[in-house]
Formats: sequence, C-alpha cells, structure tokens
Amino acid sequence: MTATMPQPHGFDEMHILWISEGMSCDGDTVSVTAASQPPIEDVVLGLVPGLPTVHLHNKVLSPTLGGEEFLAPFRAAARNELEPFILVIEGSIPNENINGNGYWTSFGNDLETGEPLTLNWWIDQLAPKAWAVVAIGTCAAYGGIHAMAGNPTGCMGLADYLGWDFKSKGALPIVNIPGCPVQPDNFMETLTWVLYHAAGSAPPPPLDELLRPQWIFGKTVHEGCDRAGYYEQGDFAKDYNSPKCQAKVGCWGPVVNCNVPKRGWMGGVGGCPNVGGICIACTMPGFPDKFMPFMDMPPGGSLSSMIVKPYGAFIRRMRGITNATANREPKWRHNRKALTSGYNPRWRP
Amino acid sequence: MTATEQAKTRRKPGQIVEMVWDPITRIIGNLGLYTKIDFANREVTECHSTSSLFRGYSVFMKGKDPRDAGFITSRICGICGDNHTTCSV
Repeated sequence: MTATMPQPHGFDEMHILWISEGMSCDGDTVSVTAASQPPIEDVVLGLVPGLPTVHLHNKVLSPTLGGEEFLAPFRAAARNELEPFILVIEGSIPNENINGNGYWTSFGNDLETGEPLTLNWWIDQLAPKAWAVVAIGTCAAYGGIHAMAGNPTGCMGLADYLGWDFKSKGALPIVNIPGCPVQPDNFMETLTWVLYHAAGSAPPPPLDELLRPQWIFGKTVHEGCDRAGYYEQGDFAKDYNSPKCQAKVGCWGPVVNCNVPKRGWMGGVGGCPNVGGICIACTMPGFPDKFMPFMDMPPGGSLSSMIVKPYGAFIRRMRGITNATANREPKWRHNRKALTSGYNPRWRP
Repeated sequence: MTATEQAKTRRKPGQIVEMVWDPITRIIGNLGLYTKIDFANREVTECHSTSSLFRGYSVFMKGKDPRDAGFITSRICGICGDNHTTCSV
C-alpha cells in the first residue's frame, strides 16, 4: 500500500477552537448537533476515514467543567503553544471602538487584571495564528440580525472586521457558511472539506466572491423549491395555509442563495418553503433589513407573478386535460371474449 | 428545633473556597458564576452571576414592522427561540 499510494502531506491532528461569544444566540452550535453528513460526533470520534484527529473545543459541546479548564486551549493558542487549529467564530463582531467605558461581549477574564477579555481581543490574538478561519452562521459571516438598522453595538461580520482579503496561516480566505441558523449538514460538509484539505488530501474548498461555498450557495431557494412548479403555473398561495407557491405572501426564495429546500433540514426533512415557511433570506448579506417587512410581497414579486399569470392559467388548463387522459387506462384492457389490443398475428417486421 | 440548635453549636470552622465558572459550558449564552463556598458547613456564602453580552434587541426592534417581531425575537436564544417568538405576539 505505502509503496503504491503517495502519502498525503498534511496534519495528523487538528484543534477546532470554536468561539460562540460573538453577538450570537449559539443557535449554530445547536443546529450543528443535528448534522448527519457527517455527524459532528463521527468527526470528533475519528470515524470519518482520512480526517486528522480532531480536538473540538466548543462551549456547548464541551465535556470540561467550564471556566478555566474550558479556556485552557484558547489561552494556550493565544500564547502560541497550541497549533495547528481552525478558528470557528459564531456571532457578529461588535465595534469595541464605540463601547464607551464598557464592553459588548467577553470570553473569559484577563488572568492578571481580572478584566473581561473581549471577543475582539481573542480574534486579534487567534486569527493570525489560525490555520483556517471559519465564520459559522449569518451573524459571523455578514452581521445578520444583530447588525440590523438601529443596532447600538455597531456589529459586523468577521470579514468586515478582519478584511475581505484576509488570508489565514493555511493561505485560506475566511470560509463563510451563512444561515440563521446554519443548515447543519452545510456546515459539517464544509468543515469536513477544510479538514480533508488540512490532511493534504483535498484542494481548498471553492468559495464565491462572498466567501461562501460555491456548491452550496450557487443556486437560489426557488430553483430547488418543492413549490416552484406552482409558480410556473401561476398558482399562488393567498394565505399561509396553502400548499402552493408563497411568492405573493412574502417568500423571497426566487432571489436568495440557499440550498435548504433541496437539502431539507434534518435527515432531508423540511426546508423552509417546502413546509410552509416563507423564505426570509436568512443566508444573505443584506439580511435582515433588505427583506423587511418579511411578510409583504417582495417588490419584484408583483411584476413576475403578473407576467406568469396568463401563461400559467392557460398551461394549467391544458395540463389538466392531458392529465385526465393520462389517468385513464387504454381501452383494450378488458375481460370480454375478444382481443382488441390491435395484435396482428401475420405482421412481421 | 433541637436538631438545628445542635447543628449551630457544632458549626465547623469555616474554610471558604472561591469557585468560578466563566464561561459556563454545556449551556447557551455568555453565563459566568462567581461563588464563595464553605464546604465544611455546606453553605454558599456568596454567589454572583454575570452575562457578559449586550446585543440590544429592545433597542434595534424599535420602529420595525410588528409582524416582523417574531422573526427577530426568535434569534434571542438558540435553544428556546420558540418561546421568544410566542412572547413577541
């Protein structure tokens, strides 16, 4: 084996330092526990072939007693005593330049002064040392809910803080995996790709100009939606009880990059518009302000639904006729004393 | 009564231990606990909790469409989003 297969040159071990102390609700951590492609347990337990041994340091999933025991690997990394590691940031980054005399969010205290260490301090320490930097969820990627108009913290996405041209020690840009919360398998799949890259057996993950994985965010919600056929036939829901296309009751699906209707949520089940939830565009950089009020029809929706209506109404009727025909068996399937199938015993090819 | 009086008289010399958990793990949110515990007498003599995070939901929700409230407040917590949605109605 070793003689014929070239050994990949990469890391055998990788720490994942996951800080959810941004402006977040930790919902992305909770979401990721539902992943199955692959499950985070399998990655941590080393059940996925070819991955480096992963040491996960995540507040919610930590087996430690908390406090200093939990903070130890983060402090070690800040002192250059722990590497290599992937830095995962959850939650938007507040602007600590405008915090007055206080702070917006902290993660542990300074051991000498006892003062809180802000998230921004940790990012300044850890991001330059990290082999890769991953932003999980829309908050960390672009700012999200906490960065909406009228917010007092001036918070922003990780790329807004570190710079969009930031490159980690492993020469990777920030990897953004938006979603509010992130779709569990979208994150685990991308993390697994990054880990295979760390192991030396995969190229870097392809990202678009907004640093999202191309294969996940390259299509719109509408292009993968179970209800998109209703749109084509000009058949729209008038309220939220309808199984039809929700474009006229506030769904932003036609203009939102997200694969959730195709992928489902847990175990392939769900996917917001598939199960009656309007798409509020939670994966988008412009979320939430550019899509509010969520329950009003998107401005472009009135035009496109008006144009598709006459075509859809006509096509729907035509298809109804064809469908009725297709639902009838051919007339030669009967139990009478004659064969009416058109069989000709003298016919030769 | 007698039992408590006896216990009081038998109070051991206290040895107060300072115990701190910040952040608390296995739970959502920035929670820290700062305690002083007298283990010999099974007593928590001092306990302070802190949540070192300010996002300002009540600030940035001002002036928004009321129908959007549920979509926004559900993002307060990653576990109990449904409670915050319901409370916003």
